[in-house]
Amino acid sequence: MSDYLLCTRGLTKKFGHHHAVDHVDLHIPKGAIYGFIGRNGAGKTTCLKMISGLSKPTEGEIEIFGYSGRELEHMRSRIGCLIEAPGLYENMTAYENLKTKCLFCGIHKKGYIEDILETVGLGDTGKKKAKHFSLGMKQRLGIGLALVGEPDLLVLDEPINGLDPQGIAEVRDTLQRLQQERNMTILISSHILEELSKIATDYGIIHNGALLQELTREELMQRCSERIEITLDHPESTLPVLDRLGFSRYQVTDKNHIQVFERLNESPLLNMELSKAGIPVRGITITSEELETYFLNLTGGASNAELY
Amino acid sequence: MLNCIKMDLYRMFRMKSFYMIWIILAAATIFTTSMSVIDYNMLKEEAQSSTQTVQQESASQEEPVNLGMDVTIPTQPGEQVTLYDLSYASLHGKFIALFMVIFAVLFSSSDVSSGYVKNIGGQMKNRGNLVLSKAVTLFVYTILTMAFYLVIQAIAQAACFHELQIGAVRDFAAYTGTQTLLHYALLLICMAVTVIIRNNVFSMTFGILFCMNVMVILYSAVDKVAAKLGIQDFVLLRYTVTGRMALLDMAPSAKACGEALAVAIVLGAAVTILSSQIFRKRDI
Repeated sequence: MSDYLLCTRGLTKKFGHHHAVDHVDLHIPKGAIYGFIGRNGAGKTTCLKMISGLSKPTEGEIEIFGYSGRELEHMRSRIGCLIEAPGLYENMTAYENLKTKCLFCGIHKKGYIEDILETVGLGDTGKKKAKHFSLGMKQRLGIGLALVGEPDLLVLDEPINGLDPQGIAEVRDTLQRLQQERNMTILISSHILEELSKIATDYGIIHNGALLQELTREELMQRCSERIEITLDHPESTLPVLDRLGFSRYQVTDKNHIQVFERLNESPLLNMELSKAGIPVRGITITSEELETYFLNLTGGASNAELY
Repeated sequence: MLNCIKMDLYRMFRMKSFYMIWIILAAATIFTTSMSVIDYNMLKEEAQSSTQTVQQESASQEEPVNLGMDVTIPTQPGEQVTLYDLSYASLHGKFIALFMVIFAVLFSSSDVSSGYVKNIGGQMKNRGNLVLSKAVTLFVYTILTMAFYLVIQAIAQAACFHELQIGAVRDFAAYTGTQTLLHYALLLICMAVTVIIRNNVFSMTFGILFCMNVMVILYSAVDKVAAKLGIQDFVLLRYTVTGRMALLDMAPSAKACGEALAVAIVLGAAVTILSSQIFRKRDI
């Protein structure tokens, strides 16, 4: 059994000749809030639909709770999902919508529906029909529906889309509480990076159907933090110099760049020592990245950005 | 599966259209019954004033199926109008079916059109069971609506004709029972059309066309093609649910009932299995 609650291998979905999702390998640890990031049309929803069992993969495998293939079909009831807009019967109250799902799940416990309504902050909606709910209330009821049956994995597709700041904060608080109180693993997609960065513990970045990167919050913060960036032809040749000078937090990022994350005010010294060692330096700068810039750079720049 | 049925029954009784259609059905039943009083009285007066006997189509003969909806009581002048006569007129004319079809389409599409199916579709081992569950719920709906209609019809008859005669009970039971199953099969067909084409407007239009006998044009074309291919005496109408509804006469023989039931069961089962399989395989 793998260390991950959910992992996919070569997950692919084709519509005709178009690859909506192209060989995606996700790895979601148990108890994580996994932020699934990508522009509109990047393949997030298609991916989440396949994970939720609403859509069949063209290729690839999904393993959840250590089960895959036909065995996974029996474990689907442990997944709660909110895909795209919340699916509600508009002429029913919040209670009736939840009751419908409870009947489906075979749950008849007294007070169960009231508990869920309290959890998602809809305990006082009474006989108000779902059609009269605000968008935020609908989203929270959608999350409530996903919570019926005590799922171990919650799959939420853009749950804060279209919400006002108050609504966003309410949803964020709800999710954090669920993760802390129930140790629930949450897979949440969004393109609102600022909000996602407040709750996510892990990230996956998808672009044009392909998964570009998976990283933890710490890794992401490190990549976005202030650093000395040295541009040169052979980064590996600098490592003995850095070691000799006592630098320990550095990383070779590609064949032309090395990043140093400490003693930022010593960049002139570093430049001088590298020159003394006969290493030609093409550039040395102190740089940092906003989270947004990091994603934009990764997904092809701001020219066609939809992330904000 | 049992949980799915419970869920569907719950949402059926929570649907506004369930009650609205019953209210309209009740109002329409009372209205047609009151119109039948006028028709009946006119026929009676004509029969009395004329030396010619009013030729009515014999109930035992196969009636031609006309386009459009025709709700005419089969009672001959001088006879008492019975509950059976009035029910026959409405069931034979597919008047009740029209209301039921509208509900069947609304009910079958509501989980998909509202998006609610996304909350539950992924959690099922076999998603096709959602269609089977709808089929069972529509059976309950058919029985309830038939019972509701008969009660309203009886009340309307008592109010309009100032008497309540049931008619030949055995024939009435056989006829109503067979028509109930044919109506159910028609609802299953409409449910299947709704599930397969995923469009309320088209599904509703198909359902109404079935009830208005418009499909007869298509059936006639098929009959002509069959005749050209050398298949003599082929009448497609006999193998359709709506055709059997129209052809079932007032004193149905065991053979006629058996044939109608066979058509209903075969077509109902076939469309339910087909739509269930399509829904199972299709992405939500």
